[in-house]
Amino acid sequence: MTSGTRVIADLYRDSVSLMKISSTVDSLPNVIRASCIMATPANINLLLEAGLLSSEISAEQNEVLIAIEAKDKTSLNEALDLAEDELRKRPTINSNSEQVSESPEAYSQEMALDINTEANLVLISTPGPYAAAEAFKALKLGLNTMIFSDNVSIEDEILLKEYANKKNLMVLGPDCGTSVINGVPLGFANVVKKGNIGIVAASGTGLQQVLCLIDEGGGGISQAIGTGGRDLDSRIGGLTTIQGIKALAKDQETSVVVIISKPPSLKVVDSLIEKVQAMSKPAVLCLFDSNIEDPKVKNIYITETLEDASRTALSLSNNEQSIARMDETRISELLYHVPKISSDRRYLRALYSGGTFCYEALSLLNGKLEDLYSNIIFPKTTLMNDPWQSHGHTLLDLGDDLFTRGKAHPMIDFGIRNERMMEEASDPETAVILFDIVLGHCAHTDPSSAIAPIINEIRSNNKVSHPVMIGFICGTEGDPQNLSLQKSKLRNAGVLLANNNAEAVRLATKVIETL
Amino acid sequence: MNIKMRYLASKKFRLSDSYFDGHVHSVFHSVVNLRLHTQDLLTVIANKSDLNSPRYIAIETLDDVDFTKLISHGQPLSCRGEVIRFSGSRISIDLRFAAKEKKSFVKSKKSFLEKKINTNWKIAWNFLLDIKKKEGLALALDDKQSVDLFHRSLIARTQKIIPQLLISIQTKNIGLAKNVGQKLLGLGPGLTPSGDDFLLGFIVGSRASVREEEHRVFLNNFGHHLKNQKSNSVDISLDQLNSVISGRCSYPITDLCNSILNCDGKDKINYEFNKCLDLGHSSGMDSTFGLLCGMVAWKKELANLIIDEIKMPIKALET
Amino acid sequence: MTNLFNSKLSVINVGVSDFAKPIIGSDAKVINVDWTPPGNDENVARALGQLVNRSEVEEANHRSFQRYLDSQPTLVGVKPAFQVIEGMSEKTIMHSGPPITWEKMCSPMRGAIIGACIFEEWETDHKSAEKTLESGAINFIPCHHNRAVGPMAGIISPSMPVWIIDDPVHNSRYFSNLNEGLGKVLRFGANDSEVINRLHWMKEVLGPALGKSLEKMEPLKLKPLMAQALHMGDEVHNRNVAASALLLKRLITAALKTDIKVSVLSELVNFISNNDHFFLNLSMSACKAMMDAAHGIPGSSLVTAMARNGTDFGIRVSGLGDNWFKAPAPLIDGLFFPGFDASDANPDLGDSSITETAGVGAFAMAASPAIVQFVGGSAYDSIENTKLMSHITHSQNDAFTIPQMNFSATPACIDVRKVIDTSIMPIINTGIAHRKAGVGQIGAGITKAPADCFSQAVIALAKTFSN
Repeated sequence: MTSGTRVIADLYRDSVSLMKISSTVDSLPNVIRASCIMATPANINLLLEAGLLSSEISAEQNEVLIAIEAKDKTSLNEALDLAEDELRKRPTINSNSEQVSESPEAYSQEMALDINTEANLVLISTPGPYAAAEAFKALKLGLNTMIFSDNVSIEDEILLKEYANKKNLMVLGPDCGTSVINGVPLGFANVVKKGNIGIVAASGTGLQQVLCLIDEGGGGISQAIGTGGRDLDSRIGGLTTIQGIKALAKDQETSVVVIISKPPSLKVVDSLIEKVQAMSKPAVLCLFDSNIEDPKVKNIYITETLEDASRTALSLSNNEQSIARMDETRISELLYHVPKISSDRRYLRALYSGGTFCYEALSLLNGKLEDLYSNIIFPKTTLMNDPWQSHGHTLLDLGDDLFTRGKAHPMIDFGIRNERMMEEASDPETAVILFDIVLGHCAHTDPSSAIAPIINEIRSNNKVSHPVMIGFICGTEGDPQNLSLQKSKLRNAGVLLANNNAEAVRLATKVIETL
Repeated sequence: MNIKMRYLASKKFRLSDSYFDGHVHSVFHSVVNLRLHTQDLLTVIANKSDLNSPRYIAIETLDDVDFTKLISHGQPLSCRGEVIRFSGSRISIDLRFAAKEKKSFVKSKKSFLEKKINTNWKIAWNFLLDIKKKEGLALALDDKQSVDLFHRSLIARTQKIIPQLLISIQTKNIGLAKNVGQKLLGLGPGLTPSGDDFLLGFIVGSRASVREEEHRVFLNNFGHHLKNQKSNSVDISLDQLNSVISGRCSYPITDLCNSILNCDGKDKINYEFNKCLDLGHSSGMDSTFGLLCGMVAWKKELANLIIDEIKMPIKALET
Repeated sequence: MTNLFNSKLSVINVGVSDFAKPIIGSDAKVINVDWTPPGNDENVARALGQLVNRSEVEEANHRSFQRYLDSQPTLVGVKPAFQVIEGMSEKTIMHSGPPITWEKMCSPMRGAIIGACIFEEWETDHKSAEKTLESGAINFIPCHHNRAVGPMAGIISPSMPVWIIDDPVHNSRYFSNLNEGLGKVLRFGANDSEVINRLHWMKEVLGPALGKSLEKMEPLKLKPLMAQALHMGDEVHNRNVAASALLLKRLITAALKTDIKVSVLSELVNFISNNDHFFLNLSMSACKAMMDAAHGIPGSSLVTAMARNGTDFGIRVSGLGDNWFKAPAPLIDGLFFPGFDASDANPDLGDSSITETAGVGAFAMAASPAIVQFVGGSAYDSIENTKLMSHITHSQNDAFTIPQMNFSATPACIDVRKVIDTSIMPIINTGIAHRKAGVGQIGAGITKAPADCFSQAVIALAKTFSN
């Protein structure tokens, strides 16, 4: 004669089914006594008194306890197995609900939600005119949304964000190229480590640059929230940005908050600073050329460039006493490698695939170089009537609709920029050609190979004197394109490779100034 | 096939937060208990106006629904846009049309004639004694039913501790009351152990018939002690019990209690009594037993009657 | 937003499917939506955005669907149309589909109306009939407007006998004409003397005999009979073999209790047993009863009628009153009888798509593998079709189950929102009429309801909320 017990966790059964199972097991030929109960202390005590348990056993009150006394060991184990099987048997589901064998297809958000009931975010990248409608659906279904699509009207953006705000949901975008939520890269995103820096950014490439520089510096990201470029427009009032700041303020994983935006309206900046001030965590603000004065608040750090913001955030995230300073030695080293340029060549031509880089460059050049031309509106910069024709120092955002019409974005399709690069190189006044390379998910799979042949061609066409090629890569070691391979390919092609945009612009300025 | 049945109910109500995730804790014919990730417990009751859980939503369904055929325990669920969807199931629950009702806890009315109440109580007590197939702790009132080993022990235990509970009240021995109450917690098989159900009824009954401030203090003390016994029984059952101790919820058991206190007459009491028995598998009978014990806990004569009835089977066995 | 941070990310990806890759790569859950622009029109998409999971619509649909389930169409009798149909005044002809003028009618419908004029003895020959019809002296009214339905041309004239179907639950009454059989028949536009003679026999012999027999019967509940037929291989639209037999079984027993002469009885039995579609008109009117019960609930997005007049395809929606949302009637993809091809086919015709509206017909195609073969598909296709329809219906009707699908209930009550949201169009099983009057049926097949009808309805429904 032998007795034994088994405890099964996370199982809940009503008394009738437990009794049924008890009696099923009890009636087995070689079983003497059997009991199947919820393992509350009182019940265990009872079994102890009844002699079915020989000693106290460790079971939680929410677990099911099987106690059996049988004639021999084999019968005991068989009986215990049978009892467990019976307990674990799921109630048979109505045959009407069919077994899903193949992975089901969804033709609408609602169908998708019926399949993945726990879904919590809808990523929308439909053509612009339909994106607002899809976003409304997502919100009506109770889901957060990230709108990658552009061409959503500001009226719709206001409606969407106000509705979302009311329902405690979030709208990332429209025109939100990048986000990292719970470590998951969304849209055009770089592969980054998990960490304690949270970011709220109105610009896709700006966010990517900061993600990459933080990753390079050994830091990690808790959340990166893309808000869309217009969020800080006074008509929208930074609804998503403020939601994001509040959420990061509460988020236990986040200890430093970085806020990145293209020139916002000053009124919204004030309310933003108010929100940031209320937060107990340190915040790094990078609002290009918005003329905000340092509010001289303990936890707020105003920075001018993305590089500056990343460096500051890294220092803060490591609890360093003082903020690390910019590394000037790299620029000096690079300057050393600049070849001699013929004296006719005087101008900078910057060909950006990332719009924010163009902004950042203009804000850095402001006051340093005269004669600035661009296809984006910026103070003390001439807005080009014909962006196809460069004048003086020209800085172009090639992601502008004007250039992308009917084509993929220049981060994916290098055609437009390669052509333009050839044109600029053949302009005898061009001294420096500056360009960005953006890596990450969904970007070009091998950008260096797409651009190197053009650079080689430029060099072979202008054997005597060709413009200096300055570039930088926005990417991480984790990105699918292999960062170091991309770097070496560009260096081999004769590109002076800066670490980031600010560094590239400073280097270019030095080159121009020393002509 | 992913066909949905949308369950709706008549009265509108809003959960404070309509965005949540969780899993199915347990399923019964027309009741599902949902465990939310916040650890809150939410009970969904279909097509029933009798409500027996502290936090519940009542829903009306198109046809008579059997939840056990539609969902199973452990199944993940999420609420988005005020619709609860069950992963891998074709049903969903639209909270916008669910009903929630709160009845205030029964209050005692001093003006009623105790005598008449006693008569009514006896009517209900006899209903209980007359039930042929007794379940749970009420088995202690019966010597004829054959039961398994576990239940034999359960009966023996009941016969010891219920008289002790009544005596502890009579003698205002709070130490004994606490001790006995603790023994009852988690006693019996099943999701809501009989002991918990009994205590639930007992608290409702004894509170409703409190006549002196001193008794009220005693009961509060007793309730407070039970509330602190967090790890002695099944979560769902403790949840209900705590809610009753805090005096927050409504049960058919309170209707029966009211019916007895209001001297409603035999038919009405019978009706309420049977409604109580419909709850759960043995829960209804255990709670009713508890209620009737509680209602007379302060009255020596009637309490002794119970003690006698409980001890009788032992006597019968002895002879 | 904090709800996002605290739980595992699970993404629904709408648009660029490549965006799913990095999400999968970081071990998060993602599901791609096979997205198409809703209604191919930005305005439709926006209107839809206002209706998805909208509380008013959900509640209205629930009520509407409940009424659909509650309805209990019951066959009670047969009487001449003018005696029982309210809107059936002198010189009125009822036809299938949404309203239409003589000028726009297709040839089979014109042929059938000419035949009806001759049958009613309003005119003696085709030429004079045509002249009268051109002059506008005859009223045309859709069957649907008079609580009736008719297959193909759906012609009902005042003295034709009609089935009377009561819905005691909602206290309403519905009608349909009697089925003439296959071959040269009025509903396909044939109108020669053979056709007219048959109509006279139906009026004078068949109608009264059926009427008398039904008087000896308990009112016949049609839903259980349809459910039984689904278990016997019918889908009660294009295949009614089992249902017709079940009906005949009951009728004979009743007819034998009457004083009907044996010779007449034998004619009646012969006629019904030779017409495998005899039950179709009852199936249709039962469906009409169910759908009219669901009609008229403000805010409801459920489709309560789909009907074609050979020129237009129209739908009605519960919450949008008596409006028809119309688009050109589509052509039918199907199999043609020997000697005919697609160039001979008339665009889709008839009220019989009320069966799909009510969750049978093509929606129950899995119940009828025989039909699938007839329209050029496999048994597997039939199950796929029924499954596909479940994505655009409000729910399912447990009264109708499909043995081949483990007794799953049929998907029921099309939701215009879901049609546009998924771009899955309702499938209809249907016969194909020759585009020339009188040639008759030249094939059978499957067609899809035109998307445009549903787009219009979505816009109209959204408008009811913006005012």
